[in-house]
Amino acid sequence: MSEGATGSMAIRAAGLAGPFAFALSVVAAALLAGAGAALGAGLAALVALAAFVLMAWSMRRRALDGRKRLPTPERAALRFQIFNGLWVVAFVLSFVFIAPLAAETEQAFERFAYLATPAAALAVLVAEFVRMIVLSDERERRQHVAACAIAGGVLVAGAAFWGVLEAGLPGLSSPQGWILLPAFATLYAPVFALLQRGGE
Amino acid sequence: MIKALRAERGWSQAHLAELLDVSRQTVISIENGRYDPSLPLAFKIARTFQKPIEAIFEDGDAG
Repeated sequence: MSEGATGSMAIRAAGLAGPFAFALSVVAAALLAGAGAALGAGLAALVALAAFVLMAWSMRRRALDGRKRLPTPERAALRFQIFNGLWVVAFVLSFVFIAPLAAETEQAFERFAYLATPAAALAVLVAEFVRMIVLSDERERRQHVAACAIAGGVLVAGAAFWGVLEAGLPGLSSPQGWILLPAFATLYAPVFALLQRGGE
Repeated sequence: MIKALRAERGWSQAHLAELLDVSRQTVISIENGRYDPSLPLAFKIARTFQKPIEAIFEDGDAG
């Protein structure tokens, strides 16, 4: 087997195994930390880090596809694809484990710090998304903006309909505000994929 | 037209994308006629191929 074919197989294997290993080890680290097993949590976090590096390497090699460097838009998209998952994980973990500590403290500064952690992860995620759009080329930027507009519009209309239902059905509860971002991402991703398939 | 000019020079779509600093998918879309580039990008393409813009792009609506 040639060196190129072996390398290509290694990239594909890392691309398949990396995300699974990353997700599993992050969940394991969170569960072990929750159970108070600091050593186990630390080891799982190290495995998650190694899996992330493997995943990033594989994604980069696949994107390069024999090229020495990528044009700016492709580089920006790759960076977002790689780090997007990391910031989502940072947000979820800090939201689940750190933010609830705010309710247990009387100190205003501590409370602020606990709540600021998931907010910071969210802010970085949004900044990375905006950076990717700004650095994309004119065709892709048009697709991103259209997908944002459609997803945002559907979300606003959905929220308004929910509000109407809430007014008529007193037992209906409002979802928490943070749900808006994952809801937006869930709408945005398929719309963007459809626009990309359309070419323009 | 762009496809032919690129082939003349022996450039790949990836190489042209690098020269224009756009994604490879954008080059593919322009070549397939699925995307009409903006005027600045059209001028950049013309400069890259060292041709006047009208030698590369034509008005599809002109009779």
